[in-house]
Amino acid sequence: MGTANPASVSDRSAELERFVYHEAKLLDQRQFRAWLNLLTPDVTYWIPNYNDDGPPGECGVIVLEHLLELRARVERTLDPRNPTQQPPPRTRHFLTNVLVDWGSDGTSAVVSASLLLYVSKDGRLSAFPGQCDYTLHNVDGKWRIAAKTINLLGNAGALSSLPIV
Amino acid sequence: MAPTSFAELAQADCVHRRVYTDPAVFEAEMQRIYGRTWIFIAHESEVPNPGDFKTDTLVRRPIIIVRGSDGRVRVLANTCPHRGAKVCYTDYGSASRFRCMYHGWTYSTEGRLIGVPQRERFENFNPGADFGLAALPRVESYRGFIFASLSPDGLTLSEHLGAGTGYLDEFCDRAPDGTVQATKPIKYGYAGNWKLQLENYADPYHAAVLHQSALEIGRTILKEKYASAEFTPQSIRTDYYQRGYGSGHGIADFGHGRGGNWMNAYRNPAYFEALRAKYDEERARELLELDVHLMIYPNLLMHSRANHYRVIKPLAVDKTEVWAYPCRLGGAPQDVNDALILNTSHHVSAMGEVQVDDMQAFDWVQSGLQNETMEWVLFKLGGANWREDERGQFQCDSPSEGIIRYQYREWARLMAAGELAAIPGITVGT
Repeated sequence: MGTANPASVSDRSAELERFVYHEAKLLDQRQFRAWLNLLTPDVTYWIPNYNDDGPPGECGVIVLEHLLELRARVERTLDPRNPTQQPPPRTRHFLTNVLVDWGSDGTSAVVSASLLLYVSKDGRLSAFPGQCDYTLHNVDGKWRIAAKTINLLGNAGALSSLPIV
Repeated sequence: MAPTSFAELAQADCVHRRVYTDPAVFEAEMQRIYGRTWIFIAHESEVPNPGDFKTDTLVRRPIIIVRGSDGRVRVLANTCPHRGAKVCYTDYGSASRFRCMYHGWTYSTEGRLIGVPQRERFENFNPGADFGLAALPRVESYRGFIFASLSPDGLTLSEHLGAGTGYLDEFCDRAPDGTVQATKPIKYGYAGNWKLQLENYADPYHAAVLHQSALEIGRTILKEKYASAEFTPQSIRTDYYQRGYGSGHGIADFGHGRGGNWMNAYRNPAYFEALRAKYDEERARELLELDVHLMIYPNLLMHSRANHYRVIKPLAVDKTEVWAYPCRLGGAPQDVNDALILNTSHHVSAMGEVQVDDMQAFDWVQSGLQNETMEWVLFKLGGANWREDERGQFQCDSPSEGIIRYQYREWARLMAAGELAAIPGITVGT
């Protein structure tokens, strides 16, 4: 892993592809506390409200959170008193068109992927297409998410409740 | 007894399920309420300069809100009088004219027809004012909040708002320069009736139950976040009140300081100093501690603590959108405004902490009311303490469902005329 790994660029990129698939699997399996372990302590998780939005803070967001708020989100999601979890939605993340853009020293990379998220709740099936952009850092030999930005195609429309994307 | 008229659907402390489920009642509401009274349309800060426009809908009708070259804001039908196509295609923008892309008819920013291709070949056609973009008959604004009416007559906006202007003032007075600027909306939608949102906003009774998870976990975690800012949880006041102002408007007080730490946006010494310099210490504190929900009947909700307003958009008897506009406070420090916008986002968005719970409840109510056995929806909490105060306003202690009953008094007044068609249905218990 990381700079010590003599593997080819395509092998190293395949490793990052597997990493984002693994992240998606943890979310679909509702292993949210394990998902938190994939995040760096200074992680930024951002879902903009409009595609042309500037830096977060200048306008409303669907979500903009860091590790502390994400920990609260995970605990709320696992809390049976949470009305949006009665019953818990089931999700399936589909990631395709994965592209890896390596940083100069091999310890960081930007991964982009097309997303199709299906959510099943109360007998209704909803689809949320969009794009995920990850900034990944290699921390002590393990890949971690330093930033995840999700641009949903339907972000400017009226949405109902969304699970952790 | 089953109601036989619209008026009988809303009793003093309960309303019939058909108020939420009957498409005929919905269509009547759109004519008798949304077609008659003042409807909130937009904020002037969204169209600050001549030529600036915004498009929207007013109960399914596409409209353009545009500031003309004369500086006046008009609300125009976004419909070309030639064949009926829309003439303006983007949410926000600035234009010197509107040109229909179907056949090229062109309109000024005041809505006048100024160009018809091949006009010399038209027969029996003398375009006067009739062929402009139709303007809503009445448009007035109060401190930047633009209202319009589809009806050419009725109360003036000032008469309609009545004492509700006091809280519109407080919303704006928290800005050091006295103005607020609306940002682009955060939108949510639910499969339920529009009045569920209006009632929920007036209802402090549900918060401790429905939002228990959000409040407890949110507070515990954020306590940690604000530990360095000497976070001190405040006691929850018990003397909340609700007030009704006429025309169905009202406020629900959520207790000063409830959100003061939870939503920590106002803790900025420079901001407090600016307000203290403008007013005095007592008034500055009062403005910052205000924590009320203001409801301007039928479609405008204002949130003093998270500093946003919401517009209720009824789409069908069981389909509603709500657009929430976070507002910047003019003259306030950047970090205060940034925090307010984030607070609103995390309050109302599809991944927010609070509104998603309410939307789930709306869904459960709309589904639950499909049972004909559930005839009457109850609003009986806190019924005994209604009183009229010295300012001629109705007031009661809170938590209470009093302000919801008050909304339905206005509903019944506007809906009163006419017979209710019988709905064939199952007969239970015979």
